[in-house]
Amino acid sequence: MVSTDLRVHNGKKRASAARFSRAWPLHLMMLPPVIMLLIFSYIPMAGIVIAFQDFIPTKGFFGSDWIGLENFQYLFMLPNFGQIVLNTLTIAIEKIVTAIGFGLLFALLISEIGNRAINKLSQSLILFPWFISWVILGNVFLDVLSLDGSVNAIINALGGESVFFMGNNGWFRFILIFTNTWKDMGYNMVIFLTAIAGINPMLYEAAKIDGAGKLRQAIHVTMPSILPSVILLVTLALGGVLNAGFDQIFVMYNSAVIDTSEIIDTYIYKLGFYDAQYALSTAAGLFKSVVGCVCLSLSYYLAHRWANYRIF
Amino acid sequence: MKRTLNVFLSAVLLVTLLAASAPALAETADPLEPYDETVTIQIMREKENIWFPEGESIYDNVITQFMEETLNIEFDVQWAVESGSYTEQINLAIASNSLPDIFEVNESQLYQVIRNDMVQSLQDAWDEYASDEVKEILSYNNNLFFSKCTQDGEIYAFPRTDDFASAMPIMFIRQDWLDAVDLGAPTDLESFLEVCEAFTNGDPDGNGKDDTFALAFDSTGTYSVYTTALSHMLGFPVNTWLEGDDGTLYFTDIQPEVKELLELMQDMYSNGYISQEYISTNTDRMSYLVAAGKTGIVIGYFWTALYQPQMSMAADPDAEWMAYPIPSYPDGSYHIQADNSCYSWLVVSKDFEYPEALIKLQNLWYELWRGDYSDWYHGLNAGEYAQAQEDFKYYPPFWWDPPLKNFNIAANLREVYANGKTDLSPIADDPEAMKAYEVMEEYLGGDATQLYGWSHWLNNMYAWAAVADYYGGTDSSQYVISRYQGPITSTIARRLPLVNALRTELFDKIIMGADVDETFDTFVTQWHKIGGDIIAEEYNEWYAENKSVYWPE
Amino acid sequence: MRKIENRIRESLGYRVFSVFNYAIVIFWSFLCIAPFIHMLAVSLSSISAANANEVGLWPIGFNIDAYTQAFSENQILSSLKQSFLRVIAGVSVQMLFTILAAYPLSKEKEEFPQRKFYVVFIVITMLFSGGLIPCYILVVNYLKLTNTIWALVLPSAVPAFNLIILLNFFRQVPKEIEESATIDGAGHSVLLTRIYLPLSKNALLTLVLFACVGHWNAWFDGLIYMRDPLFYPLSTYLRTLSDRLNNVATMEDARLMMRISKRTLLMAYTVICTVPIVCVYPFLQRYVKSGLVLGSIKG
Repeated sequence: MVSTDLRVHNGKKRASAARFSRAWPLHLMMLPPVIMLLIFSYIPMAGIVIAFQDFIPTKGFFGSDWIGLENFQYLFMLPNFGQIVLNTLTIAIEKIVTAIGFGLLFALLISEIGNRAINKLSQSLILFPWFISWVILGNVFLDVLSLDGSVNAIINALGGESVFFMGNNGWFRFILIFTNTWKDMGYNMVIFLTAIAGINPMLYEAAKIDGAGKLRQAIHVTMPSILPSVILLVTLALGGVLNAGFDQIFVMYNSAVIDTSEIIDTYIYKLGFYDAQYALSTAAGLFKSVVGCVCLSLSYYLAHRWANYRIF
Repeated sequence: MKRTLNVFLSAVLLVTLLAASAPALAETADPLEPYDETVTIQIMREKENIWFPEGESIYDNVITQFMEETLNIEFDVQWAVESGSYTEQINLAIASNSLPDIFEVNESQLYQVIRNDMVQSLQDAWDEYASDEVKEILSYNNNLFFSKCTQDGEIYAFPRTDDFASAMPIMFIRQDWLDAVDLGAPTDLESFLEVCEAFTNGDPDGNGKDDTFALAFDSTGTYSVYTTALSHMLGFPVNTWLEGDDGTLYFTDIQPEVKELLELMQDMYSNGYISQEYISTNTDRMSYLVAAGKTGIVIGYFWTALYQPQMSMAADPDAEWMAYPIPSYPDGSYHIQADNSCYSWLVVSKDFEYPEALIKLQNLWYELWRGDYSDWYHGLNAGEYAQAQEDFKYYPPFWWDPPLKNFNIAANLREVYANGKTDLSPIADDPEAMKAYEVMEEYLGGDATQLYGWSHWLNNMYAWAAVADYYGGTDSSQYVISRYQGPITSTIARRLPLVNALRTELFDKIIMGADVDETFDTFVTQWHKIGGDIIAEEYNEWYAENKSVYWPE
Repeated sequence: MRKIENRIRESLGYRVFSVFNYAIVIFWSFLCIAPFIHMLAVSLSSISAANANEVGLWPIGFNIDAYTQAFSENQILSSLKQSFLRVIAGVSVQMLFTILAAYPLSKEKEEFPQRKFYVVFIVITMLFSGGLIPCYILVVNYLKLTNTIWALVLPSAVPAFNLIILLNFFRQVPKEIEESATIDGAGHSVLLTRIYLPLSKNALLTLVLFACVGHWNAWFDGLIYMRDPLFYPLSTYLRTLSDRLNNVATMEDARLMMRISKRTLLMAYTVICTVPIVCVYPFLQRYVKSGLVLGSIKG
């Protein structure tokens, strides 16, 4: 009895020892990134305590008075805060869905473009807007969408009346999402194209032999193969769900559309106009992080449960 | 050149020292006393696109060298920032507690550094070292410039004053449009609206298209001189805190008369006098429209001639602009709204051992700008450093303008032109005035492209004339200034943005067509709740303590 | 008979789809580049036309004044240099750390039992941050990296987002390849360099692209960590220019506006800032292969 146990025990030990000797190079490889993250991410993370303090720089992080959740209370009791969080969430989710959705659509479309030149060229062109910052793009859009800008010129030529895009809540939301999709979709498209490029061609052969046409090939071969990438991108995007794009909104919004386009970041920026209020912005940042963390975890869990896919 | 400079400096120094040791100044120390051992001052400087000759920069140039030699100090430029980001950098420096020795702060930063105990009192240094001229100049309006930096009876900063007319509205109009529609400059509300109508629907640019609007009101207009000018025409001040009959301060914009202003602006918008897109057009974008000849009335400041009107004239040589006083109160009088025109202060960090260095530097700057060394200074600016033009004043780290200087120069210039340029004595001793005179002459002499001269001419002859002849000159009792001149405390800083956002919403909603009574009433209720009451409390607390100091009756 | 009919019908349906496909893709591509053409046109137009918003897709009053002015300031040359330096150093550092971390984390739990810990460790950094001030104090006061390129490169050395993407691509490398190599005696370093990296070339090139754009466009850290505008990368400098356009309250602001607020100049700067980075993707694309040849599995 004892000897069997010992043998089994020793076997396990040898197996785990073997595992460790295989794993230690992996630990070694993790070491440099971990050190960098410790220095540049975790040490500054200690500064999150500012959110709970009446921060006075001369007293520093550990000398300022502790005021607990007062900053958060102040934040949540601000007028319209509920509306602002709602705006942030809806804008962010709409942006995520459209940017990823259109990225996927165009990845599929472009992968069907046989002409190599047009294939490559259109990829570059569609990715183009992603390279340019919102500060510039925002101003260009303000010009183009103004009452005497290009878009209204076209509308007038077609017999319609000029639309004040930037002054109308409904239109403005549409503009925000549309221009954001136009700008960011290329990024997602590139990832999807990379994934599509990695699909084993034999899978397509097999499908063709089974009599599947192009459409069914797309549905039964391409989509399942890049579904993991889609889930991955959606999950990662949810981690920053309360970010919603400060730069774009800040440049393009104005007093007329503020009800539907004020987001957390633009609001905090306004509040910090007279007094930089780092404690408040740290508190808001913490709030955003927590919500993002919850959303990300939820998405990870759902992907794990339903699609049996471990994202990381 | 340097040798001549040294000789000149030594001579001047000698004279100053001798003068300083005269019995009359026996009480205070020499305002320009050099240090025995070189004192290093760490500073942050803003880099603009300033012209420097070969070998000079903001780190080291003729003026900084002069200052360093005169006072036996050394500037150590630890930070150089791109202009416009100075405020942000100081915010970071404050938050990370790594400050320069002497630096500039705005209103809210001033409060923060005093509260956080990051700067030291300048009272002793000021009493002992500030020159008589500087003391006198900054005492304008009962020392109101010091109201925000005084704590427990001691001053903690040196006010970098701006011109006393900084916030006063001046009306700039397309004179050629006025002529085309055969109207005179508006003097009251009725004539103003007439001109607006003509400028909007009367095809003032004569191109047969209905493509103009009257007033260059932009998205920042609800907080700028546009609203103060419009409310002036209606006969009351706006966006300010005044003393009520019961002796306490109240906010003007929750009073029912503001509804008149809102209605006026709503009408102007619906009539097309204000751009239909004003809400998404900031000042910069609006200036393009002015330059493109789309609008004809700009409400600006005493210096505005060098901005939009100049842009317009550069783009269209046929455009003509003229400056006028804004239309008066309904009864013909003027009660212009002004500011306590100090928007930034200089402070000395707590650990710096030589706070009087700041005072001496400002004394020295004054001597360079307007005093004993001004001939040399302006001579350089007109001669070797002519290419630097106005930017020459950015050579040293800190500069400021005596608040009444521009007004006086303009008055002197007008006197000279009034007597047909026969007697230049009013401006002969004033190198800055002489410089302005020269460029104005260049323009008047027929060089129509000399727009720089033109802007000086318009500003000095007309914009300043409005202030002198209509507004009340330098008599501060003629102007309406906010009665709250205290610091922006944390309580206030937290509530002001909310209250301001509410007010902006009010104006923008109504201008674009909302019901005046309803929207206004909601505004008032919310204003009280959202922070207006708390702000009123703080303001009144300060006012009760300080009224007798700054408004002695 | 049936099969041939199907194939003919399919190719007809597919051909119709193809036509629409080409049309949509070409139209959208044009839409994507139209604003840039507009910006280019404005930068080459006369000031008055540009200011009056008359310029469409073609310059009015063609001139290159904006570019001569932009290049005449030595600021732009030193900023360009800084941007290039930053991209080269930053991308190298990022790719190094990304690969180092993605490889171990792509292993299964059996092979790398502690992976969960590392994953959580990294994901937390993606979600939580101390904010501006603590980072600033660390980099400036303690590490004293101001005015160096390292202040711009090191804080973002481990990009969690890219790392996770690469991790997923590594996972798609078929286990059989790894197993056969292991049997042949290959250790991790050999596996990584001889098998994973070559097979993930597409993914790596994609990440290089993302890293390049990220570093090229990042402007905020340049603003706070550089204490002399000569050290500003181009994106930071461009940002300071366009930010100034928002605030015209004093005479000083106005004079500044007169000097720099020309649409043409701003657009010229934008073009100069965009062109280098835009060339990266087509350059990388030449190395992209579509489809993997996995003949090594069979037999």
